[in-house]
Amino acid sequence: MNAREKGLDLIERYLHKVGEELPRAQRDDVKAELRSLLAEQLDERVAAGEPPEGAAIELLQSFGKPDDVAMRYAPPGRYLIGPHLYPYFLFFAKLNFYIVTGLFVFWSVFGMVTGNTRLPEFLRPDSLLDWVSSWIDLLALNLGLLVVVFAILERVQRAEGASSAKKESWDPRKLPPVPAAVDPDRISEPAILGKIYAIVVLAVMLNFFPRWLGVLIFSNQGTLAIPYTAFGVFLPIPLLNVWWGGALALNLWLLNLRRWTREARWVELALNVLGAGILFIVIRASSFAFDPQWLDGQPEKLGSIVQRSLPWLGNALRSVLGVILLCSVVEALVRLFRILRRYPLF
Amino acid sequence: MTGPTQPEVLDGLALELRRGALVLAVLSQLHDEQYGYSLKKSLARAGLEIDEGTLYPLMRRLEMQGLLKSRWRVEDARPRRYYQISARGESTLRTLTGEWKELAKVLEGLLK
Repeated sequence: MNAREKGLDLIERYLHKVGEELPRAQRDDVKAELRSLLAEQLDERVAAGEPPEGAAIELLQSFGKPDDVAMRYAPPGRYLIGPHLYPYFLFFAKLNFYIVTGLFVFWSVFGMVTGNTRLPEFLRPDSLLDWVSSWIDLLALNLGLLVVVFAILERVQRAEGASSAKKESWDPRKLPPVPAAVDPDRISEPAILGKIYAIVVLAVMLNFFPRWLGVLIFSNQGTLAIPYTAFGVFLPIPLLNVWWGGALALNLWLLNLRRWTREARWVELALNVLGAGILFIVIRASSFAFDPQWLDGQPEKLGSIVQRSLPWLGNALRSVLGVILLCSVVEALVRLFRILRRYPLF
Repeated sequence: MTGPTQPEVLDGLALELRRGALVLAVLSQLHDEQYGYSLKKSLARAGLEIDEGTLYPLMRRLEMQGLLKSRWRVEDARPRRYYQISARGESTLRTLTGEWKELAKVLEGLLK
């Protein structure tokens, strides 16, 4: 990079930082205007004999810090939480969401595992509604407190900023580089190939070697393989084959297309929904009760602790599948929202 | 925590005094189309120094308030956003000029 390019790179990094703090609707236009103004002033200084990088640094320092400049583009008093504090607010809001949701899911699963709650009771409409409404209540309470705290901080910070006319010096060279644009439709070939491999392996194992899928227990007396059927798990193999066939076809299609398309996104969503449906069938149709006949002739390979925990393993498996089902439903809804936002129907 | 120093207090008050005049100064110079940098230079020639980080957002805000209009033009292979006072801006300028002159008269009397 020559000296002029370094100067222009500093300007681009500055504009990217200002843009991050601006409302999306204004961003491109403000950046274009500032780019034209800054480039012209830089060229003037360079024509007057100043070194480009030094001229760019002085120019940007006299302009002001990126978040201060971005704030000035907003009408005064408009923000409850201004651009400077908003990234921190967003971070804590997300943290609040993950912690509250995680705690709710953990306590529900824990209740099922310890036998305080059974999955069929949990899935009853009134019980689910209670769960969802308590979850929303706690999320809303925490979010409300967060908004109040940050709104107060915003006003305190604004009052302190207005009372000080002193411009603090800052170094534009410390601005982070502009990140490369992310193509949302780009596929990762290694990931697709990995998925195809996993689908083929699972399909072959489940169709031709079902006894190999289950729990492998190592002990001093030897190794014992307990297939999934010993835990009363029912797998709808034909439906699973349809799902795997669809997933395989989708991934092969993506390899051929070399990028995601609207149609491929819809197919992915349909497979997501089908997968969730299959999980639901598995949970409803399985007893998750460990069949002790399976241990005939082989109990000496297990310690007493393992023997006592085998029935518990069935319950744990039910809980895990329940959580996976919940995550699949949430994932499907998020996918649907993203598809409709990216490719509006109207 | 220590409070602001005397020069900082003075700077802050001087800034507030000038801030009130900026809108009037900007509107008064945009009867003809100008872009941000050319306006900064013409105000500086008239004795009013404004830093770019204040002037350019101010011009955009005045446009959002309907007092200025703007358009992109390409000159010397360089795209520039040119601003000009709008009809509403002209009427606001007349009102503000009247208020400024009144205020100046009052202050002159107070400061004798």
